[in-house]
This record gives sequence, C-alpha cells and structure tokens, in this order.
Amino acid sequence: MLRFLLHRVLVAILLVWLVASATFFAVHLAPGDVASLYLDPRVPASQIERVRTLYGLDRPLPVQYLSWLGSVARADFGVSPSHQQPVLEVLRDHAGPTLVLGAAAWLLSIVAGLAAALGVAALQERLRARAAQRSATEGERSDGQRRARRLLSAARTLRRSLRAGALIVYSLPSFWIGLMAILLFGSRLGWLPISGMSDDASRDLGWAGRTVDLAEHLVLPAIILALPIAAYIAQVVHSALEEELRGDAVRAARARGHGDGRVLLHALMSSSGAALQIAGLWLRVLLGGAVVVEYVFGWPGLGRITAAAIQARDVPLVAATALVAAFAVVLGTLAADLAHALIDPRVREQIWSLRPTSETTAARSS
Amino acid sequence: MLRRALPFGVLSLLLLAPLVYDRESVRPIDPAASALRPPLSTVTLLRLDTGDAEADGDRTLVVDELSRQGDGWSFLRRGETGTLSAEDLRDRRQRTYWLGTDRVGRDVLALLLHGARTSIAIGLLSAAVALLVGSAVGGLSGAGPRWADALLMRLLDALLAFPQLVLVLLLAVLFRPSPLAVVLIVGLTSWMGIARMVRAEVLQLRRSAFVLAARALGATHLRVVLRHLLPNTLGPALIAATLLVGDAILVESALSFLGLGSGGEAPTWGRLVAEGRGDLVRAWWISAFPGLAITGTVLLVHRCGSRIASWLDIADPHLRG
Repeated sequence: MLRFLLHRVLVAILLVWLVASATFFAVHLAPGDVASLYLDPRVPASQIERVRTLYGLDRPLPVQYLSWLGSVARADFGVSPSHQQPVLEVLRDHAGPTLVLGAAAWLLSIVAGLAAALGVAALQERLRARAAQRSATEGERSDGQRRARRLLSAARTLRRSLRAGALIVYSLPSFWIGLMAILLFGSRLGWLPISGMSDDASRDLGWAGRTVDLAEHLVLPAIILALPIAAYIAQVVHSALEEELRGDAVRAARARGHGDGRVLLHALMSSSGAALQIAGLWLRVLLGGAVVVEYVFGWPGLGRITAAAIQARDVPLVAATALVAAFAVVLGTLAADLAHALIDPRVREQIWSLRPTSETTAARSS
Repeated sequence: MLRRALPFGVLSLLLLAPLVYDRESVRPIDPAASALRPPLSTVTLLRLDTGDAEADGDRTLVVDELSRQGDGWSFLRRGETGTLSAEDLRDRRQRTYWLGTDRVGRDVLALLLHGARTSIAIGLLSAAVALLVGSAVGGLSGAGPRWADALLMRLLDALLAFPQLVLVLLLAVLFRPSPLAVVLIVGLTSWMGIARMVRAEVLQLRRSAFVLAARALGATHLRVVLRHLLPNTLGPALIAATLLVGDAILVESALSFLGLGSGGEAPTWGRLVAEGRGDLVRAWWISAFPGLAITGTVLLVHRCGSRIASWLDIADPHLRG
C-alpha cells in the first residue's frame, strides 16, 4: 500500500508541474501580451515598454517560465486587471459558494446515479427471475415459453432505456436546460428562486431561516449540475452491477440462501468502485459545468467570475481558474484512486498501469 | 434501408438548409409589428406601392387582420387600426411564424436553419482535427520509442486534467475567436481519448502475425506504421470521433452562449439562446427552440455514429458501459 501511495503521489506532483507548464505556454504563446491587451494602442511605445518591464515581460522566456513556476508554488497568480485585486484574493472570496454548489451536486449525483443503477438492475433481476420461474413451471406449454421470452425482452428494454436516457442527458446543453428550469420552476410555477444564492430579506432571519433560503436557491443549479454526472455514474455502475450479478460471488450468496435485497447490496458494494474509476471524468464535468451553471443562475462563485473574466478578457484570472480547476482534478483523481485502493485490494497491484484501464473506454471529453 | 439512412439524410438536409431558407427570410420585416410574435402566429404581409422600386423592402407592413372596406382596405396592426386605398396595395401574402419571432422581428425558424450549418460544420471539422491529432499522437506513442511514449502520455494526462470547457474558454480568450479558431481550439482540446485508444490498438496490433510478416518481407518501421498499423486503427478511431462531433457541438454552443462564439454574422444556436435570455419570461420561444435544436442535432449525430459503428462492425461506444 505504501508503494502504491508513494507512486500515485509522485505521478500527481508530475501532473501538477505539467499542468502549470501547459498553462504558462498557452498564455505566452498566444499573440499579444498583457501590455497590448489592456493598454490603449495610442499609448506611447515607451509607456508600453515600462508596463512590459513592470510585468517582467521583457525577460527571456525561460526566466519568465521559472519565475512563473515559483509564483505558482507560492500560490501567487498575479493581479487581476478587471478586479484590480490579486487573483488569489478574488479566488478566495468566491471559492465558498462554488464549494457549496459542487458538494451538493456531487452528493446528489452519487445518490441519484447509484439509485438509478440499482433500481434498474433490481427490476431486471426480478423480471429475469420471474422468466426463469415461468419457463420452469409452464415450460411445456407453448405460451409459457412465450411469456418467459416476453419478460426477458422487457428486462432488455429496461436496460436500453437507461442507456437512451443517459444519452439524452448528455445531449442537453446545460445552459439551456438551466434556463428552461428557471422559466418553468422559477417564473411560471414560482416554486423556487431563480437567481443568486440568497434573498436580501433572509438576512434578518435566524440561522434556520437562512439555511432554508440557501437550500431553496441551491436546488435548481445543483440538479442541473448533477444531471450529466448522475447519468455517467448510473451507466457505469449499472454495467458493473450486471456483470457482478452474473458472477460467482452472487451465485455463492444465493446458494447460501441470501435474499434479493442482500444480494443486490453486496453486488452494489463491489461494483461502486466503477464510479471511483471515472472520478477524473466527473470532476472535469463538474468543474466545466460549474462555469455555465453559475453564470446562468447568477451563483456568486468561481464559475461566474470566470464567465465575467472571459467577457472582460482578464487573462490572469481565467488562467488561474483553469489552473486551479486542473489541480482540483489531479487531487480529486488521486483521492479517488486511494479510496479505490482502500476498498479494492486488486487495485493496489496495478501500480504500473498509471490509470485504471476502464477509463480508456469511458473516456470522453467533458 | 431507408430507415437506416434517415439520420444521415436529416443531417445533410440541415447542412443544406441555409440554401433553402435564404438570407432574405432571416431579415426582419417591419420590426415594430413583427417583434416577439409567439409560435404559430400567422400575419399578412402587405407590400405597399411607393412608386420607388428601390425602397420596396422598407415598405412592407405586417398586419394581423385585413378586411375590405368600401374601395380600400382596413387593417389591424398591433392593436391599432388603419386604412389603405386599393391602389397603394401592390400585393399581399400570408406568412406563418412557425416558431415565433425574436425581439427584432426575425423568424426564429429561419434563424435556426441558418445556424444549423455553423453548428454542424464546426462539430464535424473539430472532430476531424481531433481525429488527425489523436491518430498522430497515438501512433507515435504506440509505435515510437519508449521515451516518446512516456512523454506523450504524461502530457496527455496533464491535458486531461483540465475540464475541456475551461481550457476552451482560456484559449478562446487568448486567441480572438473566428470560426476557424473555434474549430482548432475545440479540436485541439478533445483529441486525448482518440490518442489513447489508437495507442492501445497499435500496441496490440504490433504483436500480430501480419505485422511480423511485413517485417519479415523487409518493410521499414515507418512503412509498417503508416501502411499497416494506422489504417487498422482508423475504424475504431472514426467511431470515437463521431462521439466528439456531438461534444464539439455542445462546447461550441456553450462558447457562443458565453459570448465567445465564432463571431461573424451567422447566428449560432448558442448565441440565439443567449439573446433570448433577456426575454425569457415574455418570449420563451426564442431560447427554447435553439436549445431543442442543439439537443436534437447531438442525438442525431450519435445515431449516425451508431449506424457507422454497426456497418463497420465495431463495438458501439455510443451505448457505453
């Protein structure tokens, strides 16, 4: 386990360095620099030179690169032109709401994804069991066989509709479905607040009132953000469950006389590792989706300031959020790998396959 | 057979749509009276005779009702009545706004059909870029020297750590967006899955008998890679690229929605959703239909990908898991 841990941490450090370098080169290879982006072209050349010197843009690229790595290590991302404030302060001020939203969406997607996978698998099991019973008891009669076949095809339809449902969810643009949710639940039905994180009126309320107010504001964005991740988890865990239910462990459990519920629970425990294997994928979906969802719902978090920074062409801030998002994905993947190794000893053996193999098939750009 | 070809037919029709629904139909007519019409509303267009052939376009009235009144006509326009003498009216025709109009009176259906080509073309082209880069990197990684493999795979892991949308946004801020830039940006941020798949495929094929046979016949390494290994990975890579077409359409629409779209005058679907945002409560149709178009197109692309997969007899990644 220690070797596994050490190896994964080293890989994560390497990735953090590569991510920081990739961001640096993206920013510096682009045409135009800070000086030409923010200064009026009529500003005299000597002034532009002074700004370039101020930002250190006149130094050779390798020197700039090293000093950039140094400042990233000190979490110093420079000054945001649109906020007129150090980038780190801007990020720190807006991290809270994003953490709240992200955590809510994360919990929601796990619960919904596992529930969908388990529900479909349980129904399928029941249909299959009934089909087996039919063909055993009424097998001689021709309509007995037919009924058994019909039950089996119903089980297959169930499986296909889970796949189709997931596909539809991936195909929904989150900004659009967010707007439609605002329109329906916020303004037509008037059930939920449509924007922001709290009402002004809630300031006078007590602790409980403020929590309820926050929860009301959280419902729609959290659901919209969780939708695609729940679909991923449902699909991956469902396939793992199906395989598990055909396996020897389940047959042994049944032979020992365990009931359906217990068997399913066991199968779920051993197949939920599949959800951890795609942790990197759903973290990317979560963070990418947060930009759009926070923008649509006016959620005062990192995603919304990123969207605003884009419109203000605030390069240091956008670069810093991209960097922080990538760091979060690296760390999250590391944590998920470790958790997976803790629950599944088989994982600890595969030190040299740097990534779980199943992510190759599940890998989709997010 | 016809049913199987249907998704391809619809997709190519959408690509050709701007030819049928020409630029004329996107242009607003009489904005004051045609703005924010709900879906399925029918109006009458009156062309007035001004004696000036040049100014005809400006002299078209959009009216709700038209009736004979003695020698001339009386009409109802946005709740106000007016009259018109018979000789002033050159001709009249009915027009139905099937999906309503936006705040400057443009036909939403015409805008949608106009934007179809941009969305689909950007999706197809950026998937092609991803296929090209992914095959090159995957081939180099799988068949090249070990150090190149290690280097490329770590680089790929680093790129995969960024959420695609965030990376795309960063690049779109750095490079002024034009249609070509959007294609390159989306393509260059989505090739990682293909590269990984091509690499795995090449590593497996390297050990196969036909590669050994080619080697024995004296084929150079380069020739083995280009003529034997890469062509054999093309099928699965192509199918994986069809998945990317849908993703690219979604990323492009998010980009346009956030105001970093391909620019130009072509109205993209993402921008239409963003434009309708201000009138969401008054005029839901402006945002609702472009979003439906995006979803429908992405599903259609997936359908096509599934079809191609079944023709090539490759396991279908569109029904993942």
